[in-house]
Amino acid sequence: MTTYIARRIAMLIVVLIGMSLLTFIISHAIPGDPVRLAAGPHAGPEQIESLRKQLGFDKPLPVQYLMYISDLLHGDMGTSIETRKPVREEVLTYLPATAELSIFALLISVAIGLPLGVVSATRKNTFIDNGGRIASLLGASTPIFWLGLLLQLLFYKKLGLLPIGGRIGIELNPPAHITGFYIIDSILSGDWLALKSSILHLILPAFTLGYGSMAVFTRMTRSSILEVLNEDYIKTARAKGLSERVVIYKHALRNAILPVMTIIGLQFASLLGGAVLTETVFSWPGIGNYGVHAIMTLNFPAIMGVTLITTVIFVIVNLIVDISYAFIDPRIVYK
Amino acid sequence: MNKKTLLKFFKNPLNLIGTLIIIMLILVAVFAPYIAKFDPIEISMSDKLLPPGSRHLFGTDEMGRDIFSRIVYGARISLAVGIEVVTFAAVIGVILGGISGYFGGWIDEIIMRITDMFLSFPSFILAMAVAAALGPSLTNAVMAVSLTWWPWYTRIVRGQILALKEFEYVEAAKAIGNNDMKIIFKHILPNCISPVIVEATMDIGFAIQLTAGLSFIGLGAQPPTAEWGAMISTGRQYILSHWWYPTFPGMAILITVLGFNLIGDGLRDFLDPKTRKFTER
Amino acid sequence: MKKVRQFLVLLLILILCVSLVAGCAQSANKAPTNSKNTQENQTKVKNPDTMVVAYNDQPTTLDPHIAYDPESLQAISQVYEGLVTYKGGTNEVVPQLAERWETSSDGKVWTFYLKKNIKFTDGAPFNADAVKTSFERLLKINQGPAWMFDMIKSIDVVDEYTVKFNLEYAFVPFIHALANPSGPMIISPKAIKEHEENGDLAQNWLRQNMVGTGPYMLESWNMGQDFTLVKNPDYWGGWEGKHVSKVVYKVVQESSSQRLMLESGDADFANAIPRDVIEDLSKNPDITVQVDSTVNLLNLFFNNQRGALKDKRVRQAMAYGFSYDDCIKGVFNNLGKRMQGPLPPGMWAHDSTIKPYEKDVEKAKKLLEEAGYPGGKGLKFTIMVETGSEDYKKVAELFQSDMKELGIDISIQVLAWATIKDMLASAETAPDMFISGFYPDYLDPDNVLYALYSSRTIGSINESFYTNPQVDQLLEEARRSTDLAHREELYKRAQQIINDDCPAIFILVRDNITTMRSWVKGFVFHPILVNRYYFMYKE
Repeated sequence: MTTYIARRIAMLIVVLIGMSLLTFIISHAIPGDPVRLAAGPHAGPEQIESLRKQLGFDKPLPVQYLMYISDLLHGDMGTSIETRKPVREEVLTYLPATAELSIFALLISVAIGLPLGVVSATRKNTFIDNGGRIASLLGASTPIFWLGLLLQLLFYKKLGLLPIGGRIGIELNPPAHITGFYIIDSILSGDWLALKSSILHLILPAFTLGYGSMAVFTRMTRSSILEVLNEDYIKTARAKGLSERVVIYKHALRNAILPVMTIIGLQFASLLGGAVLTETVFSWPGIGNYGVHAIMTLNFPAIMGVTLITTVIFVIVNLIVDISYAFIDPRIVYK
Repeated sequence: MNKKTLLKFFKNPLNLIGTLIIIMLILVAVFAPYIAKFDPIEISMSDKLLPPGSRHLFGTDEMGRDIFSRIVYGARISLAVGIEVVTFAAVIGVILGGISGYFGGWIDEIIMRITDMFLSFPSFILAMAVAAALGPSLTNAVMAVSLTWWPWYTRIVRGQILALKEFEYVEAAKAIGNNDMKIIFKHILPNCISPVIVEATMDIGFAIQLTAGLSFIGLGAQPPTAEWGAMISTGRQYILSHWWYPTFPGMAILITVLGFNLIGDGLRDFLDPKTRKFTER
Repeated sequence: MKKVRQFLVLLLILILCVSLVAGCAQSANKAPTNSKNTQENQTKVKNPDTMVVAYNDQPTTLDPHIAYDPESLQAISQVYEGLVTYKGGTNEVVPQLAERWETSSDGKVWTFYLKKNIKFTDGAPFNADAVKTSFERLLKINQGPAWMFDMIKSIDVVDEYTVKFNLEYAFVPFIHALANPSGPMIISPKAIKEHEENGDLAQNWLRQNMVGTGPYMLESWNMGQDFTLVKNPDYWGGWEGKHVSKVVYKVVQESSSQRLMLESGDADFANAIPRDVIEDLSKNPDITVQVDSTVNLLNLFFNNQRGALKDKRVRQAMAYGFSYDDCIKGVFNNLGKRMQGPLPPGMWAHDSTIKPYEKDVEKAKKLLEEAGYPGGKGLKFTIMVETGSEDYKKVAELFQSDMKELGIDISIQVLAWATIKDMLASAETAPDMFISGFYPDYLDPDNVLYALYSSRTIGSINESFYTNPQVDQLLEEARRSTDLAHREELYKRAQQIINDDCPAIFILVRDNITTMRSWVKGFVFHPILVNRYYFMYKE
């Protein structure tokens, strides 16, 4: 087991290096000179050159890459061309918002998707099953940004139940910053108004973001359970006289969960990607938004920062999922 | 694949509907000039932002262009994009997967590491970064999405090959003296193709969605191209006052992707021997 | 059969749901009389002491000597002040931190007499020393707005409240440059000194902190979300009368979200509501839509050194082929005025006798033929448009369709502004043509003509690579002349020549549309200045 973990971590490092190289190449391939943009429309050549030197963009590319890597190892992701702030600071400022949104979205999609999948499987081919399958299929086919707009229209404009965007009401201050997660921070500082407001603000974007994943979970769970229900030990359990309920929840589910878990990691990837679109519609101050803005202004330290962070998170999440999978199912043999 | 299996496939109404949707899409794309009443890029400022009516079935956009015609022509683009992406991805994937699986050893290791590297990116983020680097255009968006998709095919093909490699007919072919290339192309690859094709069909829907997403943030189709994602992008600021503008392209994407997903689901259920028993009931 | 029936029922439910939502959207077109929110807030002012501004972007930096973008200026203009400013909605320069001023007879020395007993929010006194320190900092950092002041040779502190600017040459518009909102703001010298890091003149600290003399102070900046300014209780202008005591900027990127916030009263101002939606919005009695003229230009610049575009006739032909009416009416909903030559019609020294190009397809075709391109044969260009601008995209599409009529093939490329700007560094790499908005910094023709059409500024702000030695001479002379009548004459001659040379299609001067809640009072629009909320209140 430990060798497995060690191997995985070693692989992680190799992947991270390759990934940083790839990101570096990509963001430098972007045409255009962002230093010029930062210097302002009236800047003359000397102003631009001095700024370029200041930001370190005048050295040859391989040197820039090595400088970047060594900085990274010290935790420095370079300086944003637009704001002159350290990219690390900006990314860390925006990251908790995206993390909170993605986690909430994941929770919602699992909390609804899994039970729906179970019910779908156990009441196969009934109205609920087919209905659930169609709803989840729709979820996988709906463009996120479109869904977000429609939900805003319905719940904010028409029903006035939920806010239109942002993380918290404008009349309130964000809770005291401890983790950057508004829900956790407001609980920790006992700020109940902020807690309520944050939760209300999270509902629509998280639902929009998670809807697609919900579909996947429902489907996975359903087919996984169907598969498991056919196994011998289930037949044995039934023969033993155990109630259907126990059979399903105690035996079938536990084994059916495993393949679903492998999907969680992948779903997190699509959540991180989908966050970009969702954050735009709901004015959510996360790194997705920050990344799109960075692309539009050719702020390549920022672009690199966003890509790296999202990928690192994704890789780590997958690592954790894989390792937990190995713990849960000792039958898995690893080379 | 005989008539009986086809009938069994269509017994499930979802499969039938999915197929019908796809057929409709293809027909619309092929016969676009006959179905659309207007030129999709013809500007008519005096007709801008008209609601759906008898003349303009889905209304007009901010330049007076007929939205229905644009959606019809957009079907061509989306279909083309979907097929191009999966084709590129599949070709790259098959080649790399083939080499990797067949030769094994350090070639395999390197290709697998590269595959892992690409897979370690959330696909949309990678597509976004590559598309931004290449420059905004539909062609570049297609390439960007293909670049994020090929690893899956590589894995599938490699897995198939690893299984097939051990079969006796390969040993036999080797014994006769066939060289490696011939073995790969004549014996092994043909057996890998079908899972790739199945996967590719299911992926067309995702390819369309990803590209629409890129167009939505401005990295795909350029004006005045009538691409569905780009139309929603321009149309979103009008949703409260001219609801038809972003709604119809959104529905077009929804129905199209739904069609592919339905077929994909059906195919998956149908071809997987374990679940097939259940669909037979 | 049962399965099919179930499926059809589900499909029916789906269709009903979609029609319900579409119905919601449709009824949103009508006045929201049955929406819960509006009924409650029709008379009651929300957040009466706070001005909430919904903005679609956020400041990049709070340092007034570096910031050059409108979002940053929004914040800076509430906290920092300059020696002079513009009055109300006029182009008259009036005192702000300076009481009065005088110019030497040769126009090279400007003396300012400062107001007394003014303090910065960190307690430091405002005086001549502070002015000198600020301007020297601006010039030393030399970014963004600094170019407007490059004629300052030196600054002398005459006594505690008198300061002298020595210019390289007589520059009559100098006082206008000092009134503009980017650059000539006075920062507390104490703050600059105390937060200095490695010789950076406190740039790092002042990026996120503000110490000025203005009516508001920075309370908090939640990156990407909002920005809060609170009342500076010791403001020298005093707080008698009605002023809002707090200003909150909320970053709201979706224009539909901005609209909803404005309609519900959660925002008092919204900056990004599309023009096509404005008409609908103006029917709402709780919302005021105000349209004002500006001096903001919209030009379609040609690369005057590229191939066929070197020929004046080709450029003129395209100018004759463009549908100006369709553009102003269709794209801008008549919220703008046709340009007459390169200067905005509202500006001093504008020559109103200039004949603008009107759409005349016959004339255009003839010119093309004369130039050797009958039927537009062989003419193929790409026009660049920056990302994020719906307007520019529409104009480009219109232009494309117009040129098709002349047989000229135009393709559109949408790129990040940084890319386009980079390409504009030289005539060889520059695009064939692109759409550009020009926002004068201050109200003098020099700021427009010299910047855009002088050979000296090729590579920085002259983005059409136009050169005409006659024009150059006129502009240089006008810059340095102190005789107003003479200057006017020179500028008029220059305009005529530029108009005839047609380095660009002069499309329109855009109107500014302000969308705000009707309970906002005291709003006065200014074409150059950013909203100053100190002069506004809500009731």
